[in-house]
Amino acid sequence: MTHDEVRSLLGAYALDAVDPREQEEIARHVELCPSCLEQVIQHREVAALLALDADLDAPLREPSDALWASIATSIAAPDVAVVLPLQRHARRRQFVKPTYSVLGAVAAALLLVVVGLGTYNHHLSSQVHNLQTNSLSYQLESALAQPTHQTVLMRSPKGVQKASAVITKTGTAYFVDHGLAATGHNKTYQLWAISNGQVISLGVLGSHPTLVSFKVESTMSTLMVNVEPLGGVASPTTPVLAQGAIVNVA
Amino acid sequence: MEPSLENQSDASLVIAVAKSDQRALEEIYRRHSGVVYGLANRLLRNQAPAEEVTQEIFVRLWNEPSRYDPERGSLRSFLCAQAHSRTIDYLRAETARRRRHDLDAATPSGPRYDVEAEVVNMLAAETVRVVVAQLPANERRAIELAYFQGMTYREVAEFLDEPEGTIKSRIRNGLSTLHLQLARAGFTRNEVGQ
Repeated sequence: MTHDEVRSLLGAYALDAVDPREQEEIARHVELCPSCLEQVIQHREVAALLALDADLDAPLREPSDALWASIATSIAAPDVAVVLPLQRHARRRQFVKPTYSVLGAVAAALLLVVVGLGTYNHHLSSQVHNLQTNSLSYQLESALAQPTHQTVLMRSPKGVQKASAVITKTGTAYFVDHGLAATGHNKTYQLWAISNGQVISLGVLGSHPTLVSFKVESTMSTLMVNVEPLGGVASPTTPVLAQGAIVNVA
Repeated sequence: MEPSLENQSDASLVIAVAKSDQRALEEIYRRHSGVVYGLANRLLRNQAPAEEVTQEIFVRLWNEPSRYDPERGSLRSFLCAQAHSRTIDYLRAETARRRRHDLDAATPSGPRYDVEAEVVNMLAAETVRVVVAQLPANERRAIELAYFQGMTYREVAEFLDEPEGTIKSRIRNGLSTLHLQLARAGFTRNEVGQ
């Protein structure tokens, strides 16, 4: 798409009225073209003002009084603020301190993880540094500072690392993206776990997750991520893109 | 004694949010939730999903305040763009589309609340209304269908039986005209991005 072609679409782009393919192409162009970026900023400012006009379509309404309370509750409990569990029973389960009946196997797996953690933690710490302006990154940094944290490397079937999960001993966990491409419109990444032999949803991650918090329970043995329709589904409908084994740590 | 947040700029409040100051987010919510929710509700015509979108936008700001760049426009513009994009995603999902159609038929359209009186600047809303009314009808219609009905420009072109290039031009020209008129009406740089 040429500069002029992009230019002709900036109005529609600012109103989210272009196709997903065009949106991606225009977004790339805008990042490199100051004049187009300025145009988009102007259009979006106008669009935001249009939202004030009550006569264009339906009348404006105010959110319910309970909405702020709901938001306040969400941000007060950051470990469930972003990921929205789809299975209600899973959210109610309490984290149980790990048992060690399979200590031998666990120790072997843990050893494999530990070998890679030295350099990997340095990589994660660098990522955290880049995200220090948001509170979730601070929480991740705090988790990484805990000696008992565990890092689960989530790899594709071909062995390419796509994401990782940092898990604290309390079960609070953080999903960190390492190269998942943005999904198209109407799609979202969804996080899954194997728990007691069953695949359960841990929630949707959004179309381009970078850092998302979620909850891990002692019964979970594997984390997986795939792409699902927007809003998530109850059971996986597409292949797993990346997965990693959870190893209980003291 | 706690410092007052009411006189702080939006950008200052976002910095406070980055430091996990919940009161700052509450002030941002007080200032902008009306227009964010109003936009989502206008597109979705259903309170519950509109509130879901509104909550998602503010929780996202809490979790990722660094996504807002003051150099790229006002906070209101940022929040509205996020809300609009998220709402469009919702609308374009087939299940959501079906839900919307069902609700269109079942839900009365009359207003139950007057959000403007509590949340948005009445003078700004009136000015915008006047400026929008002065737009050529075909440009106003194209913008309405794209922004408030969630149509792509191609869908607008098909709906109006006009060439796609014509619709692209109408949207772009209409927005540019609105920008110019709003600037003349005295909106600040941040409000129209000039």
